[in-house]
Amino acid sequence: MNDLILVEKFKGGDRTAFKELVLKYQKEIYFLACRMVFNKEDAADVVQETFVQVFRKIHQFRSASTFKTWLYRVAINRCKNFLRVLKKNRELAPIENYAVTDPKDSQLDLLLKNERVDLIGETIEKLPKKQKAVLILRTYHELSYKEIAEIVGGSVNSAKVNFYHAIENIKRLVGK
Amino acid sequence: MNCKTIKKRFLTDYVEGNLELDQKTLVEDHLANCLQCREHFGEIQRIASLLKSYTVADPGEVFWDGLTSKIYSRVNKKKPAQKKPWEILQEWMTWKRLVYTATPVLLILLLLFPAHHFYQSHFSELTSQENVLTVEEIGNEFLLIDEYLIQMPANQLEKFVQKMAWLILSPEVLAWPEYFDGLGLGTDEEIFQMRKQNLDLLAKRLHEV
Ligand SMILES: [Zn+2]
Repeated sequence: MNDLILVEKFKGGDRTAFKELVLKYQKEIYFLACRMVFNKEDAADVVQETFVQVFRKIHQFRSASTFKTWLYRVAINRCKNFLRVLKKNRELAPIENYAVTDPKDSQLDLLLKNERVDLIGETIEKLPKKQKAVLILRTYHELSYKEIAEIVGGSVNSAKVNFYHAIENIKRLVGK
Repeated sequence: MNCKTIKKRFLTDYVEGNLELDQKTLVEDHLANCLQCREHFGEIQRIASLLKSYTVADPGEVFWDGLTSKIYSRVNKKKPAQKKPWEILQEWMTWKRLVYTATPVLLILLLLFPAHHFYQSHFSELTSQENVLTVEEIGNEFLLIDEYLIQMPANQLEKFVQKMAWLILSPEVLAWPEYFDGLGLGTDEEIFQMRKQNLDLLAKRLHEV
Protein backbone atom coordinates (compact mmCIF):
# COMPACT_ATOMS: atom_id res chain seq x y z
CA MET A 1 0.00 0.00 0.00
CA ASN A 2 1.10 3.55 -0.75
CA ASP A 3 2.98 5.23 2.13
CA LEU A 4 0.78 8.29 2.22
CA ILE A 5 -2.35 6.18 2.52
CA LEU A 6 -0.76 4.25 5.37
CA VAL A 7 0.25 7.48 7.08
CA GLU A 8 -3.27 8.89 6.77
CA LYS A 9 -4.73 5.68 8.21
CA PHE A 10 -2.24 5.80 11.06
CA LYS A 11 -3.00 9.45 11.77
CA GLY A 12 -6.61 8.37 11.99
CA GLY A 13 -5.65 5.92 14.76
CA ASP A 14 -5.12 2.71 12.76
CA ARG A 15 -2.19 0.92 14.39
CA THR A 16 -1.93 -1.78 11.76
CA ALA A 17 -0.93 0.94 9.32
CA PHE A 18 1.96 1.83 11.65
CA LYS A 19 2.97 -1.83 11.76
CA GLU A 20 3.03 -1.98 8.00
CA LEU A 21 5.33 1.02 7.89
CA VAL A 22 7.66 -0.60 10.43
CA LEU A 23 7.81 -3.84 8.45
CA LYS A 24 8.41 -1.99 5.23
CA TYR A 25 11.23 0.23 6.47
CA GLN A 26 12.92 -1.30 9.51
CA LYS A 27 15.55 -3.10 7.47
CA GLU A 28 16.83 -0.12 5.54
CA ILE A 29 16.80 2.05 8.65
CA TYR A 30 18.81 -0.63 10.44
CA PHE A 31 21.41 -0.73 7.67
CA LEU A 32 21.54 3.06 7.71
CA ALA A 33 22.06 3.10 11.47
CA CYS A 34 24.72 0.36 11.32
CA ARG A 35 26.87 2.51 9.10
CA MET A 36 26.10 5.74 10.90
CA VAL A 37 26.87 4.55 14.45
CA PHE A 38 29.21 1.70 13.47
CA ASN A 39 27.92 -0.75 16.05
CA LYS A 40 25.16 -3.31 15.55
CA GLU A 41 23.64 -3.25 19.04
CA ASP A 42 23.53 0.54 19.06
CA ALA A 43 22.06 0.50 15.55
CA ALA A 44 19.18 -1.70 16.75
CA ASP A 45 18.50 0.81 19.54
CA VAL A 46 18.54 3.67 17.08
CA VAL A 47 15.98 1.86 14.89
CA GLN A 48 13.68 1.42 17.87
CA GLU A 49 14.03 5.06 18.86
CA THR A 50 13.38 6.13 15.30
CA PHE A 51 10.08 4.30 15.05
CA VAL A 52 9.03 5.42 18.50
CA GLN A 53 9.62 8.99 17.34
CA VAL A 54 7.65 8.30 14.16
CA PHE A 55 4.81 6.99 16.28
CA ARG A 56 4.84 10.05 18.51
CA LYS A 57 5.42 12.67 15.85
CA ILE A 58 3.38 11.45 12.93
CA HIS A 59 1.18 14.55 13.14
CA GLN A 60 4.20 16.68 12.31
CA PHE A 61 4.65 14.90 9.02
CA ARG A 62 3.33 16.98 6.14
CA SER A 63 3.02 15.44 2.73
CA ALA A 64 5.22 18.19 1.31
CA SER A 65 7.98 15.59 1.54
CA THR A 66 7.61 11.86 1.10
CA PHE A 67 7.20 9.68 4.18
CA LYS A 68 10.48 8.01 3.31
CA THR A 69 12.57 11.19 3.38
CA TRP A 70 10.84 12.25 6.59
CA LEU A 71 11.58 8.87 8.18
CA TYR A 72 15.22 9.06 7.10
CA ARG A 73 15.44 12.53 8.58
CA VAL A 74 14.18 11.28 11.92
CA ALA A 75 16.62 8.35 11.74
CA ILE A 76 19.62 10.50 10.85
CA ASN A 77 18.81 12.84 13.73
CA ARG A 78 18.58 9.89 16.12
CA CYS A 79 21.98 8.70 14.89
CA LYS A 80 23.52 12.12 15.33
CA ASN A 81 22.05 12.42 18.77
CA PHE A 82 23.48 9.05 19.67
CA LEU A 83 26.91 9.99 18.34
CA ARG A 84 26.88 13.25 20.25
CA VAL A 85 26.27 11.45 23.54
CA LEU A 86 28.89 8.88 22.61
CA LYS A 87 31.41 11.57 21.78
CA LYS A 88 30.99 13.15 25.17
CA ASN A 89 31.97 9.88 26.79
CA ARG A 90 34.74 8.91 24.45
CA GLU A 91 36.61 11.80 22.93
CA LEU A 92 37.43 10.99 19.34
CA ALA A 93 40.22 12.78 17.59
CA PRO A 94 38.55 15.32 15.31
CA ILE A 95 39.17 15.05 11.63
CA GLU A 96 41.28 18.23 11.55
CA ASN A 97 43.98 16.37 13.42
CA TYR A 98 44.61 14.07 10.53
CA ALA A 99 47.44 15.10 8.30
CA VAL A 100 46.34 16.50 4.98
CA THR A 101 48.60 14.63 2.65
CA ASP A 102 48.02 13.02 -0.65
CA PRO A 103 47.68 9.29 -0.36
CA LYS A 104 50.35 7.02 -1.64
CA ASP A 105 48.75 4.84 -4.20
CA SER A 106 50.26 1.68 -2.79
CA GLN A 107 48.19 2.01 0.38
CA LEU A 108 44.99 2.48 -1.56
CA ASP A 109 45.91 -0.53 -3.68
CA LEU A 110 46.54 -2.56 -0.56
CA LEU A 111 43.16 -1.61 0.74
CA LEU A 112 41.54 -2.52 -2.55
CA LYS A 113 43.30 -5.87 -2.74
CA ASN A 114 42.61 -6.90 0.81
CA GLU A 115 39.05 -5.64 0.72
CA ARG A 116 39.44 -4.34 4.21
CA VAL A 117 35.77 -3.76 4.68
CA ASP A 118 36.13 -3.03 8.39
CA LEU A 119 38.70 -0.39 7.56
CA ILE A 120 36.24 1.35 5.26
CA GLY A 121 33.74 1.41 8.11
CA GLU A 122 36.38 2.84 10.45
CA THR A 123 37.27 5.48 7.91
CA ILE A 124 33.65 6.53 7.39
CA GLU A 125 33.32 6.65 11.17
CA LYS A 126 35.90 9.45 11.30
CA LEU A 127 34.06 11.75 8.89
CA PRO A 128 32.22 14.83 10.15
CA LYS A 129 28.60 13.89 10.78
CA LYS A 130 27.03 15.65 7.84
CA GLN A 131 29.52 14.33 5.31
CA LYS A 132 29.10 10.90 6.74
CA ALA A 133 25.31 11.06 6.45
CA VAL A 134 25.44 12.31 2.85
CA LEU A 135 27.98 9.69 1.83
CA ILE A 136 25.98 6.84 3.37
CA LEU A 137 22.64 8.00 1.96
CA ARG A 138 24.10 8.38 -1.50
CA THR A 139 26.31 5.29 -1.65
CA TYR A 140 24.27 2.69 0.18
CA HIS A 141 20.71 3.96 -0.07
CA GLU A 142 21.02 5.44 -3.54
CA LEU A 143 18.88 8.43 -2.74
CA SER A 144 18.90 11.43 -5.03
CA TYR A 145 20.70 14.60 -3.94
CA LYS A 146 17.32 16.30 -3.75
CA GLU A 147 16.12 13.68 -1.27
CA ILE A 148 19.41 13.85 0.63
CA ALA A 149 19.11 17.63 0.88
CA GLU A 150 15.63 17.22 2.35
CA ILE A 151 16.94 14.71 4.87
CA VAL A 152 20.10 16.42 6.11
CA GLY A 153 19.02 20.01 5.42
CA GLY A 154 20.61 22.54 3.09
CA SER A 155 20.60 22.84 -0.67
CA VAL A 156 21.02 20.16 -3.32
CA ASN A 157 24.36 21.66 -4.17
CA SER A 158 25.56 21.57 -0.58
CA ALA A 159 24.66 17.87 -0.50
CA LYS A 160 26.85 17.33 -3.56
CA VAL A 161 29.69 19.34 -2.04
CA ASN A 162 29.42 17.34 1.17
CA PHE A 163 29.63 14.12 -0.81
CA TYR A 164 32.71 15.43 -2.57
CA HIS A 165 34.35 16.45 0.71
CA ALA A 166 33.53 13.06 2.20
CA ILE A 167 35.28 11.26 -0.64
CA GLU A 168 38.24 13.66 -0.40
CA ASN A 169 38.50 13.05 3.34
CA ILE A 170 38.37 9.29 2.86
CA LYS A 171 41.15 9.62 0.33
CA ARG A 172 43.25 11.47 2.90
CA LEU A 173 42.44 9.16 5.77
CA VAL A 174 43.10 6.04 3.74
CA GLY A 175 46.29 7.53 2.44
CA LYS A 176 47.75 8.11 5.86
CA MET B 1 37.09 25.74 -17.21
CA ASN B 2 39.76 25.50 -14.55
CA CYS B 3 40.66 22.55 -12.34
CA LYS B 4 38.94 23.96 -9.28
CA THR B 5 35.63 24.43 -11.08
CA ILE B 6 35.82 20.96 -12.52
CA LYS B 7 36.48 19.41 -9.13
CA LYS B 8 33.98 21.43 -7.13
CA ARG B 9 31.09 21.68 -9.53
CA PHE B 10 31.14 18.67 -11.76
CA LEU B 11 33.09 15.94 -10.09
CA THR B 12 30.29 14.21 -8.22
CA ASP B 13 27.87 14.30 -11.12
CA TYR B 14 30.50 13.23 -13.59
CA VAL B 15 31.55 10.22 -11.54
CA GLU B 16 27.91 9.23 -11.22
CA GLY B 17 27.12 9.88 -14.86
CA ASN B 18 24.53 12.58 -14.16
CA LEU B 19 25.84 15.32 -16.44
CA GLU B 20 24.10 16.69 -19.52
CA LEU B 21 25.97 15.97 -22.71
CA ASP B 22 27.44 19.46 -23.16
CA GLN B 23 28.73 19.57 -19.60
CA LYS B 24 30.07 16.07 -19.94
CA THR B 25 31.96 17.11 -23.04
CA LEU B 26 33.43 20.09 -21.20
CA VAL B 27 34.66 17.88 -18.39
CA GLU B 28 36.05 15.28 -20.76
CA ASP B 29 37.87 17.91 -22.81
CA HIS B 30 39.49 19.17 -19.66
CA LEU B 31 40.43 15.69 -18.50
CA ALA B 32 42.02 14.90 -21.83
CA ASN B 33 44.40 17.80 -21.33
CA CYS B 34 45.02 17.72 -17.57
CA LEU B 35 46.93 14.85 -16.03
CA GLN B 36 46.35 16.08 -12.49
CA CYS B 37 42.58 16.10 -12.81
CA ARG B 38 42.65 12.78 -14.62
CA GLU B 39 44.48 11.16 -11.73
CA HIS B 40 42.19 12.84 -9.27
CA PHE B 41 39.09 11.51 -11.02
CA GLY B 42 40.60 8.05 -11.20
CA GLU B 43 41.12 8.01 -7.45
CA ILE B 44 37.67 9.32 -6.71
CA GLN B 45 36.16 6.59 -8.88
CA ARG B 46 38.19 3.92 -7.16
CA ILE B 47 37.17 5.16 -3.74
CA ALA B 48 33.53 5.25 -4.80
CA SER B 49 33.71 1.63 -5.92
CA LEU B 50 35.71 0.64 -2.85
CA LEU B 51 32.97 2.06 -0.67
CA LYS B 52 30.44 -0.23 -2.34
CA SER B 53 32.27 -3.25 -0.92
CA TYR B 54 31.41 -2.19 2.63
CA THR B 55 28.38 -4.36 3.19
CA VAL B 56 26.44 -5.00 6.36
CA ALA B 57 25.35 -8.60 6.88
CA ASP B 58 21.62 -9.30 7.04
CA PRO B 59 21.11 -10.43 10.65
CA GLY B 60 18.30 -12.83 9.67
CA GLU B 61 14.60 -13.32 10.30
CA VAL B 62 14.87 -13.96 14.04
CA PHE B 63 16.58 -10.61 14.49
CA TRP B 64 14.03 -8.74 12.37
CA ASP B 65 11.10 -10.30 14.18
CA GLY B 66 12.69 -9.38 17.49
CA LEU B 67 13.25 -5.83 16.36
CA THR B 68 9.67 -5.47 15.19
CA SER B 69 8.27 -6.72 18.47
CA LYS B 70 10.57 -4.46 20.49
CA ILE B 71 9.27 -1.49 18.53
CA TYR B 72 5.65 -2.57 19.06
CA SER B 73 6.11 -3.10 22.77
CA ARG B 74 7.71 0.33 23.15
CA VAL B 75 4.95 2.16 21.34
CA ASN B 76 2.23 0.15 23.03
CA LYS B 77 3.22 1.79 26.28
CA LYS B 78 2.48 5.12 24.66
CA LYS B 79 -0.86 6.66 23.96
CA PRO B 80 -2.04 6.35 20.39
CA ALA B 81 -0.78 9.05 18.07
CA GLN B 82 -2.87 12.04 18.86
CA LYS B 83 -2.37 15.75 18.73
CA LYS B 84 -0.77 16.86 21.95
CA PRO B 85 -1.55 20.27 23.41
CA TRP B 86 1.83 21.64 22.43
CA GLU B 87 1.28 20.45 18.87
CA ILE B 88 -1.93 22.39 18.72
CA LEU B 89 -0.06 25.38 20.15
CA GLN B 90 2.51 24.98 17.44
CA GLU B 91 -0.11 25.18 14.77
CA TRP B 92 -1.37 28.35 16.32
CA MET B 93 0.48 30.71 14.08
CA THR B 94 0.99 33.64 16.43
CA TRP B 95 2.61 31.58 19.10
CA LYS B 96 4.67 29.70 16.56
CA ARG B 97 5.83 32.94 15.07
CA LEU B 98 6.74 34.28 18.46
CA VAL B 99 8.91 31.29 19.28
CA TYR B 100 10.48 31.16 15.87
CA THR B 101 11.06 34.88 15.83
CA ALA B 102 12.53 35.06 19.28
CA THR B 103 15.37 32.80 18.33
CA PRO B 104 16.98 34.75 15.48
CA VAL B 105 16.28 37.89 17.45
CA LEU B 106 18.12 36.55 20.45
CA LEU B 107 21.04 35.61 18.30
CA ILE B 108 21.19 39.01 16.62
CA LEU B 109 20.95 40.80 19.92
CA LEU B 110 23.57 38.69 21.52
CA LEU B 111 25.93 39.82 18.83
CA LEU B 112 25.02 43.43 19.57
CA PHE B 113 26.26 43.13 23.12
CA PRO B 114 30.02 43.37 22.83
CA ALA B 115 30.44 42.66 26.53
CA HIS B 116 29.30 39.10 26.09
CA HIS B 117 32.51 37.57 24.91
CA PHE B 118 31.20 34.17 25.59
CA TYR B 119 28.57 34.59 22.95
CA GLN B 120 30.77 36.15 20.41
CA SER B 121 33.32 33.41 20.54
CA HIS B 122 30.68 30.77 20.77
CA PHE B 123 28.73 32.07 17.83
CA SER B 124 31.70 32.60 15.55
CA GLU B 125 32.81 29.09 16.32
CA LEU B 126 29.41 27.86 15.20
CA THR B 127 29.22 29.84 12.02
CA SER B 128 32.80 29.30 10.94
CA GLN B 129 32.34 25.57 10.68
CA GLU B 130 32.25 24.37 7.15
CA ASN B 131 29.29 22.18 7.84
CA VAL B 132 25.90 23.70 8.37
CA LEU B 133 24.53 22.73 11.75
CA THR B 134 21.76 20.20 11.89
CA VAL B 135 18.34 21.04 13.22
CA GLU B 136 19.06 19.26 16.44
CA GLU B 137 22.44 20.88 16.88
CA ILE B 138 20.89 24.30 16.36
CA GLY B 139 18.23 23.42 18.91
CA ASN B 140 20.86 22.47 21.44
CA GLU B 141 22.72 25.72 20.90
CA PHE B 142 19.55 27.66 21.55
CA LEU B 143 19.05 25.81 24.78
CA LEU B 144 22.50 27.05 25.84
CA ILE B 145 21.56 30.57 24.85
CA ASP B 146 18.32 30.39 26.82
CA GLU B 147 20.24 29.24 29.86
CA TYR B 148 22.58 32.15 29.52
CA LEU B 149 19.72 34.62 29.19
CA ILE B 150 17.98 33.22 32.23
CA GLN B 151 21.10 33.90 34.25
CA MET B 152 21.68 37.36 32.84
CA PRO B 153 21.75 40.17 35.47
CA ALA B 154 18.44 42.00 35.75
CA ASN B 155 19.60 45.37 34.40
CA GLN B 156 21.16 43.80 31.33
CA LEU B 157 18.16 41.68 30.72
CA GLU B 158 15.91 44.71 30.80
CA LYS B 159 17.98 46.52 28.18
CA PHE B 160 18.06 43.41 26.17
CA VAL B 161 14.30 43.13 26.06
CA GLN B 162 13.81 46.79 25.25
CA LYS B 163 15.88 46.24 22.15
CA MET B 164 14.18 42.99 21.41
CA ALA B 165 10.65 44.37 21.22
CA TRP B 166 10.95 46.17 17.89
CA LEU B 167 12.86 43.29 16.37
CA ILE B 168 10.21 40.79 17.28
CA LEU B 169 7.70 42.88 15.38
CA SER B 170 10.03 43.52 12.47
CA PRO B 171 8.49 42.23 9.23
CA GLU B 172 11.88 41.12 7.93
CA VAL B 173 12.30 38.69 10.74
CA LEU B 174 8.74 37.43 10.49
CA ALA B 175 9.05 36.93 6.77
CA TRP B 176 12.01 34.65 7.02
CA PRO B 177 10.38 31.33 6.26
CA GLU B 178 13.59 29.55 5.39
CA TYR B 179 14.87 30.33 8.80
CA PHE B 180 11.73 29.12 10.49
CA ASP B 181 11.86 25.83 8.65
CA GLY B 182 15.57 25.46 9.17
CA LEU B 183 15.25 25.92 12.90
CA GLY B 184 13.03 22.91 12.95
CA LEU B 185 11.82 23.65 16.45
CA GLY B 186 8.58 22.05 15.43
CA THR B 187 10.24 18.83 14.42
CA ASP B 188 11.89 17.99 17.69
CA GLU B 189 9.57 17.59 20.58
CA GLU B 190 12.14 17.59 23.35
CA ILE B 191 13.92 20.70 22.18
CA PHE B 192 10.64 22.46 21.58
CA GLN B 193 9.44 21.55 25.05
CA MET B 194 12.66 22.63 26.71
CA ARG B 195 12.69 25.91 24.81
CA LYS B 196 9.12 26.53 25.76
CA GLN B 197 10.00 26.00 29.41
CA ASN B 198 13.01 28.25 29.05
CA LEU B 199 10.98 30.98 27.42
CA ASP B 200 8.40 30.71 30.21
CA LEU B 201 11.20 31.08 32.73
CA LEU B 202 12.49 34.09 30.85
CA ALA B 203 9.07 35.66 30.76
CA LYS B 204 8.80 35.15 34.50
CA ARG B 205 12.14 36.80 35.13
CA LEU B 206 11.17 39.70 32.92
CA HIS B 207 8.08 40.14 35.01
CA GLU B 208 10.26 40.46 38.08
CA VAL B 209 12.43 43.03 36.33
ZN1 LIG C 1 42.67 20.04 -14.30
